[in-house]
Amino acid sequence: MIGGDFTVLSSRAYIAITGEYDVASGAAYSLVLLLPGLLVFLVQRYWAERRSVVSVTGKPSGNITLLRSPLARIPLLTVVLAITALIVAIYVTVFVGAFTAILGVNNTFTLANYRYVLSGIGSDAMFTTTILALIATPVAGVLGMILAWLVVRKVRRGRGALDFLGMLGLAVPGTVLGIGYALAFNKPFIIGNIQLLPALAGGGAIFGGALAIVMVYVIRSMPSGQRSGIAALQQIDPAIDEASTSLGASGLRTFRSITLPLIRPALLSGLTYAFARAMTTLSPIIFITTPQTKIMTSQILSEVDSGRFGNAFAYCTILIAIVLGVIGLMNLLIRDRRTPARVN
Amino acid sequence: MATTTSTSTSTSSGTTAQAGPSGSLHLDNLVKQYPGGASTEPAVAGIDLDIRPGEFLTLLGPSGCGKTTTLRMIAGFETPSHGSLTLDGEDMVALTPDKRPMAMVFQSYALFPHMSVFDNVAYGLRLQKLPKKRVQEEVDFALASMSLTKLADRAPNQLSGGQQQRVALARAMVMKPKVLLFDEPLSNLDAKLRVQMRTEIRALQHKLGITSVYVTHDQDEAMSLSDRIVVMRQGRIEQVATPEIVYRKPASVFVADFIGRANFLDTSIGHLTLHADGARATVRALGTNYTVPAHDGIDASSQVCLMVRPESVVLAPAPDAREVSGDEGRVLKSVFYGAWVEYEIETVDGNVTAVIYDPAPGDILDHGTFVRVSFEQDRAWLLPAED
Repeated sequence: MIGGDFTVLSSRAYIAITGEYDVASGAAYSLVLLLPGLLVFLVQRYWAERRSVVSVTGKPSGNITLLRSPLARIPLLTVVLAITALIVAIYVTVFVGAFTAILGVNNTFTLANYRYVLSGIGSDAMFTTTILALIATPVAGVLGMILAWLVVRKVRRGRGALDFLGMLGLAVPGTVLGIGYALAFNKPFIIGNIQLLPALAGGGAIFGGALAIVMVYVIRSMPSGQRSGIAALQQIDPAIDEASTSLGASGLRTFRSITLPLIRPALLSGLTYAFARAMTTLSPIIFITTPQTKIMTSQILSEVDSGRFGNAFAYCTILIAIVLGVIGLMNLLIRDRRTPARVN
Repeated sequence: MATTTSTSTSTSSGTTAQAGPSGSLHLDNLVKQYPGGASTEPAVAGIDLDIRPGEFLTLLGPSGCGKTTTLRMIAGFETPSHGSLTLDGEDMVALTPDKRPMAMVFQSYALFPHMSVFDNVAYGLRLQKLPKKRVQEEVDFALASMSLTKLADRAPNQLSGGQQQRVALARAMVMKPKVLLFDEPLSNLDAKLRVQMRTEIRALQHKLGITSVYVTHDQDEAMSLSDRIVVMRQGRIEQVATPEIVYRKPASVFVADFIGRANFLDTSIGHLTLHADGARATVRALGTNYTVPAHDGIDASSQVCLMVRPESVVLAPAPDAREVSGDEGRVLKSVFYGAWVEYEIETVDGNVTAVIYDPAPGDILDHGTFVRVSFEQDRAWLLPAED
């Protein structure tokens, strides 16, 4: 969207498929795109793993040292404020733009953008996107937690590989993921004469291609649950689980009464991120949205493509509102009930 | 099944529970070999033990000797590669840890951080579906006996280390298990608290009469707590005996060196005789002949070494001595500790450490002084030399 005069690989791949109807060269661009992405991811993992320090003591320790020297504070504060101002400016622009006829040209206040977006296509996309994201979020969150549990507690050999597999949804560039899904699932999956799977992606697929979109959401959002799950589980001394077992609790009972309450905050933040990621995912689903299944992010893109920035801004504010609203709701629902209460 | 047994044996709260004759633990050729090929040494290489009902047994040894692995096999957190484990004749290997009538106290306390002290202690009883009133009574009693009543509503992170370990202890005791397992429970506490908790654990175990297996690398802990000590080394048992026997008649140089401090003097056997209370040997050391008690495994041709504890070394003035020869030695180092003085003395048989308790004022020997060095022969011990 903001490529300007520069040709970027992912937008080349996008144009190859949507503009030139050349799926093969789109896939080729994707492959070129995939290599550096994976490489950087692997290098980062290697570094992070070497530096990670085991700090599981189960006892509170450590305190924060405040930087007091103005020599250090002033430049740091300036940088932080500048970045914050930039981010705020972006949101303000979006918000103002949503209520303006043509931002910068005709700055009159109008509700026309919302009228356009909320009637017809727009409300359709809003509804569909939210529903699909809401379906994907718990699946991604639970899968991520299970994967984290396997990685931290259960699997001894190959835990690195398992962790890596789970993280692929994040490591693989979105365009590549999208093209992969579009190619893999747009035809029924047939071995011999038996149809194992119907077509999942594309206009002719079941549920209007919605299933493929949910799958992309899940794959794309799972790593956030996985990361926070792993971080939380590594904080819990295995002896706590063993203590529960030693007192007569089965493995399932221990998970329910001990492990789950202790990782609840992580589960919540995992779910929150998963939902936000799903709602805002663009590049992977751009190739698998269908006329029946409209997704807000791709609607925003097409509004921008047609030069209707006002509508795009209006979409964006609604998207932000939905994400914030649902996150707030989730916070209320899975409230952290950790005040120890004596049960008599 | 096992849990039901432990429930039925538990008497009503307020009275002292008697475990009776149950709690006899039998380990037969227990082996733990971790995956990684037969080339690696097993962590535990065949342990045989008979632990009597109500006995307090300590597994003692340096890190990596297999003591913790042995304890974890008893608890069920590790599966033995070979061998059998029975409690009152019932096979334990087939049972998962939650089905074994045992409770464990961990080094890291392992309290449930999201539960109050009361709920922590009540956890196991509630799992047994005891009536609420019973749970309340039992937990109140356990908390009272560990002086924790006032802290019942606190969260674990509001307690000191010593209090946390008391909660962990109460949580295990309230289950009235047949066997209590301790995995270095005091090593996170400071020295003073450690001594205090040691006494409390011992008193409580005596009162409840629960068979206990205690793992530690701290010899003071082992000596002060145990009915018997198992000294382990590289996955094997070096010696099983009462603290006194382990100290006075260690089975090997390793045990003698690990428990307390010892001088080892190279010597050879002059004469070996057998008596009703064990073998005695005549040996020459520090320029003098001594008749000392000897290890059973020694015969006249054995390579031997003589163990002399620093406190059985006797020093006498040697005003005429001018050099180190015969029984005359020279003080190399003299350190005053208040209740005792510690000397390092150069002798014909090498350097000897001597500890003299309660030295009289003005009696402390200076560096460079010549002394006659001897030892109380009944307190020495002749044992096979290390290969």
